[in-house]
Amino acid sequence: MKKILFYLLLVFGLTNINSQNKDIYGIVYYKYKPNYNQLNKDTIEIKKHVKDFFKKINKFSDDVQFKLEFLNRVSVFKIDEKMENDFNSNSTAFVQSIVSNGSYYCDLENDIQYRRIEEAGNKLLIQSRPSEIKWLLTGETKVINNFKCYKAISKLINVNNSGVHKFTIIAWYTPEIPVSFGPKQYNGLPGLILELKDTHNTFFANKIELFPKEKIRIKPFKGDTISEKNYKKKLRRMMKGVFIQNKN
Amino acid sequence: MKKIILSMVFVFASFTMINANTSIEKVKSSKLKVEIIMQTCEEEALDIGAAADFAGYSDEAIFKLMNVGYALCMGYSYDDILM
Repeated sequence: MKKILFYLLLVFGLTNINSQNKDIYGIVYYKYKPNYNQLNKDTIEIKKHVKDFFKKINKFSDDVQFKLEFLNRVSVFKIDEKMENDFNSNSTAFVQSIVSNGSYYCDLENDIQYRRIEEAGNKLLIQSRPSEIKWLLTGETKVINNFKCYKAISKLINVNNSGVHKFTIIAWYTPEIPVSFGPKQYNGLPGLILELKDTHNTFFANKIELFPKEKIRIKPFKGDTISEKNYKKKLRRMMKGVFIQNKN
Repeated sequence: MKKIILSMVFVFASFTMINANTSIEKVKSSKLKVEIIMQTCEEEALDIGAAADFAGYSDEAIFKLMNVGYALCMGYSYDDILM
């Protein structure tokens, strides 16, 4: 009886160790396209030079892609540096700054997320929680890159000088790849996000590498931290100053 | 001989004075052009900001778009602005 118990415990222990060694890691590459509502053409007359400006910056979407690296419950989302060359070095800097608003580090285990930006030459980490994004899971499905995907919806509110703007964020995730990550700060779904309609751009996964030869190593971001709430307050004060100056 | 030299000096001095006045005018006109360009670029940046504002961009994105719009108008490259 004692021998049986011993062997049972041994088998259980070995199985446990083996399962702990099974890390889930991979890389997902995303391209993006501007949404139709990028400029609110229905409510204001858009000047020609403004249209030309946005047309010029939208062309960067052809040159640039993003990279999501994940290892178990930790991930980093940022611009794909390998795309950068003399031709499109301008576009990667611009897209990282404007489209993705920086790089993202997410730790689902500890419910911590950092968005890293450059401010006056210093790296600033804007802190938030992945759990702050509330997802509504729907039963709607579609196939993306041969993966069956489900639709999830969230809401995002931007408050700026012209008022409160509400956006519906739509994510298509696949439980077939059981990692809860996606582009930017959009994490926490029961599967990898393959398509995400953000406020002004839509991201598409165009390449997935699961268990690449070189194992992923993810280092936490370092820098001065500020909460998302305080950072938005700081910007609101600055922007109010800009528009008041303009009226004068 | 002395008359020839004196008249040459006179012509040379007059020519220099005329050129000096023209250079000052050119500097004044260039400074005015820069001021006009700066004002134009400021207006362009504010137009971009207003359009982005109505389209619901965040304050952060509006600020960056305006900076980029202004700098591009002034002739800077993206690297100068963002790196």
